[in-house]
Order: sequence, then C-alpha cells, then structure tokens
Amino acid sequence: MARLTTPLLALLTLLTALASLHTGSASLEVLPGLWQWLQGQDTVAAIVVGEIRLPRTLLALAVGAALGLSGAALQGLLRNPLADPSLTGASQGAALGAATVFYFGLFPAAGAAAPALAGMIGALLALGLMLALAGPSRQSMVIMAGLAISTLTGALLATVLNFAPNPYAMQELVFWLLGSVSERGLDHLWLLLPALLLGGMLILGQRRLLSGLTLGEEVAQSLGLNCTRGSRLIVLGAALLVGASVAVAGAIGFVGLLVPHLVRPLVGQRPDRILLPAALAGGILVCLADMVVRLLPPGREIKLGVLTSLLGAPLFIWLVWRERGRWL
Amino acid sequence: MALIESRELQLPGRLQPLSFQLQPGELLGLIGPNGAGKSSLLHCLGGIESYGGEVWLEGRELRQWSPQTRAQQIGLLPQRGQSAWALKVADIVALGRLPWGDEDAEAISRAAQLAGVEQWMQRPVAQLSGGEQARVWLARVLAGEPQLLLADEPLASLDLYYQCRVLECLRDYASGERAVILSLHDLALAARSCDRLCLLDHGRVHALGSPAQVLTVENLRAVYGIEAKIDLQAEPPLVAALG
Repeated sequence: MARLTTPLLALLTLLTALASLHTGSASLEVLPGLWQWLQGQDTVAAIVVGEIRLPRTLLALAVGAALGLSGAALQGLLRNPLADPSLTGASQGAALGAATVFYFGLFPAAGAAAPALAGMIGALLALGLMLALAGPSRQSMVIMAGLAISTLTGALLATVLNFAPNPYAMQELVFWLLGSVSERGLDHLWLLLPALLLGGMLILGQRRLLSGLTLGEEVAQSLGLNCTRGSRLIVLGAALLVGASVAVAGAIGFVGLLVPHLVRPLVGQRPDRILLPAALAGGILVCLADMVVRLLPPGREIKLGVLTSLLGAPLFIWLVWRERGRWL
Repeated sequence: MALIESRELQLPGRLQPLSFQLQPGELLGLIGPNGAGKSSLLHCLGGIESYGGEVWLEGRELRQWSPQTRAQQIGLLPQRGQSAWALKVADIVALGRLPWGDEDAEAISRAAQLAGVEQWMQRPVAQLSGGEQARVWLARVLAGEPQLLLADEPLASLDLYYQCRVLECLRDYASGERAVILSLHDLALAARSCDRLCLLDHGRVHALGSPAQVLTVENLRAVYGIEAKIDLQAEPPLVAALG
C-alpha cells in the first residue's frame, strides 16, 4: 500500500484538476476549450477555461501542495504531530508584506499581483530575521525565533489594520487575509512556482535527516547526519513554501497541520515517505475545498481560507481527542 | 593493532585527559557513579560531542573521517530510546542502515535475529513493552554492523531476563574485528561479562584493567564512598554494597 500511495494520489490529483476545470457557473466543453486556449484562440470556452478556471485550479493545487509539504516537513523536523507551518514566522511576514500594499499602494506596476509580490518580500524578510535571530543554535531555538518574529510581524499587522486609511482598504485587506485562489491569474502561479520548486527541493534533500530524527537528535547525529545544517534547510524550505503560498493566496488554515495526519497512516508513518504524498494530498484538498466554494449558491462567496478552517477545526479537535485517548 | 585509541581525549568541565586502547574482540565496561563522565565519553566517540585531544580509529584521527563513514564504523545506542512516530519495528531497525544509504535486507534480518526481535518486525514499536523496545533499539544499531558499538546504559530499566539477553547479545557482538564499549551500573554483571573495566570518577579514569584489577574494595570506597563485599571467584561473581 505504501508504495502505491504516491501514484494513486497523483492520479487523484489529475482527476481533481479535471473536475475543477469542469466546475463553474457556465457549462462548457472543457477539453476543447483548453485546446483552443493552448492554440491561442479567443473563443468563450478558451477564455473561461484558460484564463479563469485553469489558473484557479493550478493555484489551488500549488498552494495546497506547498502547505501540505511544509507541514509534513516541520512535523517531521520537530517530531511533533501538532507543528504548524506558520511557526516559521514566514506566513505572518507574507501577510504583513501584502498588507503594506493595501496601505501604501506599493508596486502599482505589478497590478493585481502586487500584494503577492510584497508578500514574498515580506516572507523573505521575516525569514532572514528569523535565521539571524536563531543563529547557530539548536532547532528548538529556530522555532522560538520563528515564533518571536511571527509575534512581531503579527503586532505590526495589527498596527496596519488599526491605522487603515479608510474602511475600504481595511475590508480589502481582511478579505485578502481570509485566503482565496479566485481572481488570480497565471502571473500569481509564476510567483509561487519557483518557491514551490526550491522549497520542495530543499526539503526533499533532507529526507534522510527526517528519517534519522525519528529516534531523536542524538541518534540522527550518531548516524552521521548533520542536524544543524539540515534543520536550517528544512526550515528555510518550509518558510519559502508557506511564505509564498500566503503571499499569493492569503491564509489558508489547517491544511499544513492536518494533511500530514491524513496521509501518515498510508505511508507506514514514515517521515521521509510522507513528503510527496502530503504535497499531493494538500493540493487535492485545497482544490476540492475551492470547488465547494464555487458550487455554493451565488451571492456573498465564502472565502477558501474560511472554509478550510471551518472544516479543519473539527478535524483538529477530533485529532486532539484521539491523542488524548492514547495517553489516558 | 588497537581498533580505537584515545589519546588525551578531553571535554572541558566533564572529561579530564583520558587515554586508552580498545582491541578488536574486546568488551569494555564503563562504570562509575552518576555524572562520572560515562555518557560524555561515549558521546565523544559516537560523534555527538566535539572533544579535545585525539581519537584514532584504524590509523586515522576520528575528525578526519566524514560523518557518514564514521557512522558506518561506530554505532551508538543512546541511553533513552523513543520513536516520535508509530513506525513498524522493521522500519526502526532499517534506520540503522542510514549511514550506508541502503536498506540491506540481509543486514536488517541478521540484526533482528541477533537482538531477537524478528517475530515483531511487522508490529508498531509503540505496542511493545519497554524491554522489548530496548531490543529493537539495539537491533537498530546492530543493523549498521559497526566495528565499534557504543551502548549507553543498555540495561537500565530492564528486568533480569532482558538484562541477560541484551548483555549476551553485546557479548556475542564483541568478537572478530568488532568491539563493544558499554556503560553500566551493575558491577556484578560488569565483572561477569566485560573483558576489561574502566572506572570513571569526576571525569577522570580512576582505574582501568581487568575486573579483578578494577573492582577492589579500595576503589569502590574511593569512588562510590561505600563499603563493599567483593568475591570475583564466586560463580557468578559477587559485588555487593554493604552501606
């Protein structure tokens, strides 16, 4: 079963993507529309599928993959099933970066991608600060540093909200923070993809360390693994992933925390084998949630991040309940 | 030629300059009160702590070995074993192959057999008792087939049956080109199983030699501050604290 997990999830990802392309208010011939879009024709089907549904689907998959992978990597690194990707401080940094765009109107040339661009810069700044603060210390300190930077950027974000120039800007910002993959184009995907690839490579390169850390830092070190350098690379990778996804899509809660739990039993609990399946499952989950958003009756749309939180929170409560039962 | 040789190995505040040699086939027991430096010494040899002085393994200083090749030669079984995830026993044992970058099925099954865990290979390690788990952690180190096996209090918190089994396993492992260093508190067991003993006190070697040379009433009085009754000719050897 464990060996089939990744191919099966890859197949499921493809099916979800196809289903997502078929989901929308207009009923269209999706595959011909996609083909026409690829050929550069501007039929209605080509525009709807190529310009609206395809970016939205790919973005949902990429954001979900980034969150799922970063969650799995951080839980493996910290040996804690309740570790959340936001612990790195990068997500708050990204949110602050994006908020400054709404506040100061930065990067007007970037158009709709301006919050994402500023979010990436915010995530990278937060990340740099976090690594500088942690210095060459133990991995627990890296997370403490992440938490400290997260608190600082959170406070700054609250300040920005507090002094919002007008209610409209505040509303824009709050809606953006709630998380969504709608009204975004392929340019957002081009911002996210390099971070997804680089972060993914950094994390996948440390699979042996994640394996060794199963038995603790002492054992990992005695097995010839470089814990200090490897931990940094994993935190850097996770921060890139989560920072980029928050920058592009806002805060989409619980995916990074919960996806590894759903996948772990399928891979025999192994922290090295969970990475790709967690990325695929994260993509599927966010894409499915976004389809639900689109299928809900028209009117005021529920934000994707709100939906994942509404679905994720009860699942999280159930997990805590189950963990509690194990220790009683 | 010695398998490993320590020359003035030291760790500020914890180990004073310490020199010894270990021959292939030897089982060396580290004894001494809590805080004497037993774990620190094992950690230095196992690559967890950086040290002063020199440690030579097969004619090369330990620092010249890459961490991976060092880990292929020296395996460390730490004092407390715990798995963060509910892995199967087979997966835990396979972790011992990480320095080799393979999952050599034969080495894994040999290790499982030596440690006597082959009947639990498909069970989650968390379902086993403490004594059974201790054998799984040992099997993990054995799977790497290191030339030098370091075991930090492998008998702690084990019942008599498992103490005997684990000690037997380490005794068997210390043969041919391989050697074992273990730390332990049970002096009678140490006298019975170890070829040589190293009595540590406040980070320095108080006595090093055969059990008869090390386990004397004077040494135990000086290091532990106890009066002891010692009869190493008895079968099994007797070392008892009188108070």
